[in-house]
Amino acid sequence: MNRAYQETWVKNLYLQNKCRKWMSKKLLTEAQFERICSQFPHQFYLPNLFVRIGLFLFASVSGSFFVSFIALLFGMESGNSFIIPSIISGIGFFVSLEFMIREKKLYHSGADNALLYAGLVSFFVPLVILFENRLEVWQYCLAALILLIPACYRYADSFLALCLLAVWYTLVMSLMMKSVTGRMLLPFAMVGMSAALYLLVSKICDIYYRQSRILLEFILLLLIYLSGNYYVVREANALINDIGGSESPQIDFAIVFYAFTLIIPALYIFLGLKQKNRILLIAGLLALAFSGFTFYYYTDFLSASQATALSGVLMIGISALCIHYLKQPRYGIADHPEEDSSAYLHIQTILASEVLSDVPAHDNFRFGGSGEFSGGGSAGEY
Amino acid sequence: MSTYNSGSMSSNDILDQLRSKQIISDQHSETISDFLDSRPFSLYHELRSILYLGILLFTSGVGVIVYDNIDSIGHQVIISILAILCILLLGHSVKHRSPFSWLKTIPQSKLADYSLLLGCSLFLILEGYLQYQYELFGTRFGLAVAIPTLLFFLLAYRFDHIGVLSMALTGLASWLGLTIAPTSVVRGNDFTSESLLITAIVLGLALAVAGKVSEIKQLKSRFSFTYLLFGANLASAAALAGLFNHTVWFVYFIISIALSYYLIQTARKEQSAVFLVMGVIYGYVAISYALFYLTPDIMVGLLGIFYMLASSAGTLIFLLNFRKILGTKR
Repeated sequence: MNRAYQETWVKNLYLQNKCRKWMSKKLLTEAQFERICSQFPHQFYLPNLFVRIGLFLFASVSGSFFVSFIALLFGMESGNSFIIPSIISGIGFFVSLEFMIREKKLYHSGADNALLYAGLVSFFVPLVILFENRLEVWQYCLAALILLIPACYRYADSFLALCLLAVWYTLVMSLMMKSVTGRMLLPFAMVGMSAALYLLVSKICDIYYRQSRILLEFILLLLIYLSGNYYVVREANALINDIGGSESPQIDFAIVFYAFTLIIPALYIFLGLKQKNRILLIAGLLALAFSGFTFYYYTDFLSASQATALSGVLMIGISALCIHYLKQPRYGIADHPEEDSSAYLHIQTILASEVLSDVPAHDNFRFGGSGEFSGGGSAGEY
Repeated sequence: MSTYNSGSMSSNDILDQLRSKQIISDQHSETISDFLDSRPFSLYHELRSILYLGILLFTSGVGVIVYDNIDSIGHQVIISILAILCILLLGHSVKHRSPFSWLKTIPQSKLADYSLLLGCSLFLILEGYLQYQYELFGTRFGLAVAIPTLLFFLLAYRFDHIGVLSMALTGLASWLGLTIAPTSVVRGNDFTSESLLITAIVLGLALAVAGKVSEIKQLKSRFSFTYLLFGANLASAAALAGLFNHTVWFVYFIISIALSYYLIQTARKEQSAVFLVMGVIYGYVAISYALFYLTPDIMVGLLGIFYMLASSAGTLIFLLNFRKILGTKR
């Protein structure tokens, strides 16, 4: 089976993007860039993020009505009779997906993503209906893997890659949970497996899978950390062994997990800065934040609001100091704005209106700490 | 060429490619390669994200702490510290200000924008607390909201700060009893009350006009995006709510369609995809609802699936070809 998107175009697109960055840094002239675009052409339809979201939404809506239309044609009385319409719509989705990629030159443009997911779900649903609850979790996982692996290979979709990873972890975990030794070794096995997978995934240097690779690397780094994080291990241990009570009991080898929780964020951040690897750095920052939470959770000299304010002070202080310190680049690290940051500005605008401006309300004169704080995390742009 | 076929593409591979097509000379390639090797690793976005998140966390935490400690001794201390902090932060922004201009200005210090934002948030907390504890404005709640709103508008224009402008817009909306933040326009507002709904439409339209004016007159034209985003979103959501709930639905229908048309036109001129998608989604919901409303009940079930299938596929085709249809470049 081949890859769905024109490989040469994928490469040329990457090359053009790289050269555009170089041009914005005045490394290439505009005339040179134009020659590059004509020598390394691509014809992909690449709309803006918001149009892609729109395409995804409308493709999902028309997809779901397509299914109900097919189901209506076949008359749907009981669960089993849904199998045939589902398979037919699955075929329909894949045919239109292939058609759109070829004719409309889509490349992860929203509509093709929606059709791909709809097609896969349409093929998986009959399986669930057919076996009802007679199969075990790992058997469903196996079936899902058989669908997902070729789909990931052909379409290189990052979300599917993530699903593949999730299914694989569910499979391994459900098998290990069957035995007592398995349960005991679970955290160690998870750390080991995540690390092995990370090393494996980071070897994929094919541009065709670049987006999937970046996402998987990031998630795997987080999984390595979370599998050995003290909070996760202790709470999961209580959950798995079904120990009730208000507080989860202390775990064996606690000192190992303390150390892990402490060392991994520092290691990630250090390596990220040293190797100029942004994925490692951001994973490290998130890990650091979660280590802070872990520490806060098992100690009780701060209330929730005090901890929030204190962490805010620390973050403001450290970042302000770094910005001040990095006025001149030091040790190969700098604080220069990169290219166009308008998207980033718009995000700030929206956040300011969402969180900061809880203006005194009329009836109940109290604001702040509405608790509805969904921190975006320090999401960087790769 | 061998590296090109294996699929891996480092910067050096790309330079080889460019050299082989004789787009750049060997020497030029070396210059680029040297630059890339010696280029420092920029933490610009990471540091600003942490700073921004820190401001959000700090204000959320302090907002609660102030009320938690209302009867304790430490409480006066907290308030004094907040007041001093607020003055220091705003003072920092003032000290590093650029001369006023209707065009974009760049502050003299990298942190001035952030100290202004944090200063404004702390001002809100302080003012709210003073009203709560000492009833500074008595029962004139309107005044309590109007003062920060006015102040924020002034600061936003003086210091050219979009974040503070959006805080001012939020204040203005809440002065009228409305929520304006893009993600909570629908669930944050009670549009069953028709007077509130009309207020929302009027405010939304006024903001959209303000955006247009600032763009035409070149008065902080970069603010026009914020004005139109907030205004059009509020007015469109309110008009749709009117279409769903109220008897004079036809009026609201016309308003919805006019707004969608205006958004798509703006998108066409400004090459802005946000407004395009907003216009398409709001317009699609309005037209679909009106059609179903007019169709007799017996036909709805039958027509429904066909209509939804055809119309959503039609919208899809529009979005796939909008550059050709609207004649835009992007």
